[in-house]
Amino acid sequence: MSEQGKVREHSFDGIQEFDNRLPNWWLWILYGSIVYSIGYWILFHTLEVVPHPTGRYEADMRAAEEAQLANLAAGGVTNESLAMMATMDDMIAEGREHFVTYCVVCHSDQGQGLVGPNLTDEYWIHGGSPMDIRQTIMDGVPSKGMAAWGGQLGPRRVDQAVAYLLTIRDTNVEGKPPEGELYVPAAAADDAVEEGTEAGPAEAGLADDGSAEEASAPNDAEA
Amino acid sequence: MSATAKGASQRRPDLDTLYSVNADGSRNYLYPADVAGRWQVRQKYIWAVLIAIYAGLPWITIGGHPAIHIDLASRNAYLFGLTFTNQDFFLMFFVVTGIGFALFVTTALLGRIWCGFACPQTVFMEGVIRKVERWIEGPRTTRIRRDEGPWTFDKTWRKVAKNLAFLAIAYLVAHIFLSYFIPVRELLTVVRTHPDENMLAFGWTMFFTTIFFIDFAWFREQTCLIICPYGRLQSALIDQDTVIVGYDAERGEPRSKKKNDGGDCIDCYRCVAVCPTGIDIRNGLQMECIGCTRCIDACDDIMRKIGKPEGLVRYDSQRSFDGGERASLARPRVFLYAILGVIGLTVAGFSIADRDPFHANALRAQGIPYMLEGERIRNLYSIHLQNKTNEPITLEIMGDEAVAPGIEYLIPQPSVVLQALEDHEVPVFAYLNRDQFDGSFPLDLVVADPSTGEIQRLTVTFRGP
Repeated sequence: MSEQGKVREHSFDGIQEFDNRLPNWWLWILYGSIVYSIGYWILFHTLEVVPHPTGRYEADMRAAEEAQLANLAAGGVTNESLAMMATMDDMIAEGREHFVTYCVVCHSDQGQGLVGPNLTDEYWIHGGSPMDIRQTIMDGVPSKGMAAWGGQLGPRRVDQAVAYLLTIRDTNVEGKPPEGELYVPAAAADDAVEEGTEAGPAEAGLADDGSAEEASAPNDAEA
Repeated sequence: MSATAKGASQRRPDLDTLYSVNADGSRNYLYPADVAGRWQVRQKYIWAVLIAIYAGLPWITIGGHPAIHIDLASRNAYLFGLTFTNQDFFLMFFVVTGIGFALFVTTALLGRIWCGFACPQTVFMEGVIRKVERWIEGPRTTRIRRDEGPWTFDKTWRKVAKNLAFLAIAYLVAHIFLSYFIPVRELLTVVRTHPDENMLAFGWTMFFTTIFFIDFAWFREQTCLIICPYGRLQSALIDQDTVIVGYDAERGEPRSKKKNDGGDCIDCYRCVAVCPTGIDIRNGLQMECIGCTRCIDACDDIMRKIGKPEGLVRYDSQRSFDGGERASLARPRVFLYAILGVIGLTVAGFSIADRDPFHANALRAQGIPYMLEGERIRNLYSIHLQNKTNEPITLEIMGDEAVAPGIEYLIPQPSVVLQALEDHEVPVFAYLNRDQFDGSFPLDLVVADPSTGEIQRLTVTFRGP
């Protein structure tokens, strides 16, 4: 108590300080923070009971992806529904119109490829299932020059374009050499049915930046 | 020595210690006495207006959005009809420095006028909370006596009622605060639903309710004395000519209880009793003083009663209190702060007025810088577009033939519709025959909004082997 109001001996450029006691609430915040930091360290770093910010971020991303897929499913769009659209003449006709208007610039008049890849072969850079193709058109691959059309055309017209693409694939029009991975519809159809729709497109989405790029790079170099 | 009022009556505020903290670190609670006077009346009106603005602003809609709406989730802000995206965030630098230096000018001229008249802490603490406390618990002496006494029924119900009232006020103030982040009509729906459905909003309102309640019920002046950084800047911002709340020692000293003996100060202790931060203004300007003017009104009242002129404690400059002439307002620091403030606000004003309706930015696509396609060189760019308005816009993208002749452009999306605040990436291919290429050169991509004629040119480099 006697320290209150007493000046300490040291002096910095003539500035001296009192030896007054800190407020107790201030000290309790300090002690509380120390206790909290120990608990934090143990929970987050030693036991890892509570996820790190990075872990939480990854969990959020997973949740977002699942929500996106649920959204798609809610819209009723599936590999099967797109395949069914590809058998409906009016859908194909409208899809062809969109193709001629928006796609031929890069993929050429018959889809044989120009700057964009050949769409009439059996090889697909970003996945060849109807839903993969749909996602590639919707979100694009801006780093490789594929624009995102989802916002511009809306899901309906994108679906029609997918329907049209499903009718011209495997027609092997003479054009750009194949790029990407071989896609065999039957096998993928099995995948989609057995593993459910959850894993398929999500993995394909992740592969966009990795394997797809590797797959196309050698071709670019050759060309 | 008791931590409460008994101690207060023995201990007097001095310059060497914080009066609101006892020698053992415990809190010395303050019991500011009632005071009436012209400054209190002025403050009452100013605070009523400020609270009305604070509570009313969220209800006003300008251009489809609340007058002030900071949408943290989408990182957009709507301020008085203007829309700011996260890319406009740099403007905050100029806005904050502009407002900051404006506050500095005010401080250099008028001291802590902000603290006493406009700071939300003071407005709610002095304007609302203390009034409620006075209403439930009575005047200073009654409060001190009751707090020292045992826990009777009378004491208990008053304490419970007071704290419930504080909690209700904190709850209300917290919701008004949140309504600057969640539009008030949405917030009202949120309030009526189960917390589970809006955990984040519920969590924030409870957090701020708790913080405000602790501040109102217990922390009080400690916020100003120990936490607020502005208070700590005072000594660097003011000078001898700054108008402050001060005591005229020339006139007051020597203090004397006898009426016509010595100075005008009769050492009645009223100025100390009314002080909400626990200082004795007669010790001169102190870090703790929030310029609330209560001691001015308290002293004037006493002076009137003893038949002496008012203004023993008054608004004046230190130079005047020391017997000097009041200097002119034109001091270097006032000009310096003013110039810096004007620069900040001018730059902010021009940048806000000059903001583009859309943002366009061209980058070379990631990966390989160029590609050989037979005899042609191909470059790929990606234009990032963002609509910065609240309306859908259509943007057209083209290459400028004049800047780089011979280049052939391939633009998959030459026309793009962007919804309000939407952003989008557009690829652009540029081709050149290999035999025409002799070193990298710049080319211009043009983004235009035909409806307004707004054009942005984006310069990129064409690279080749």
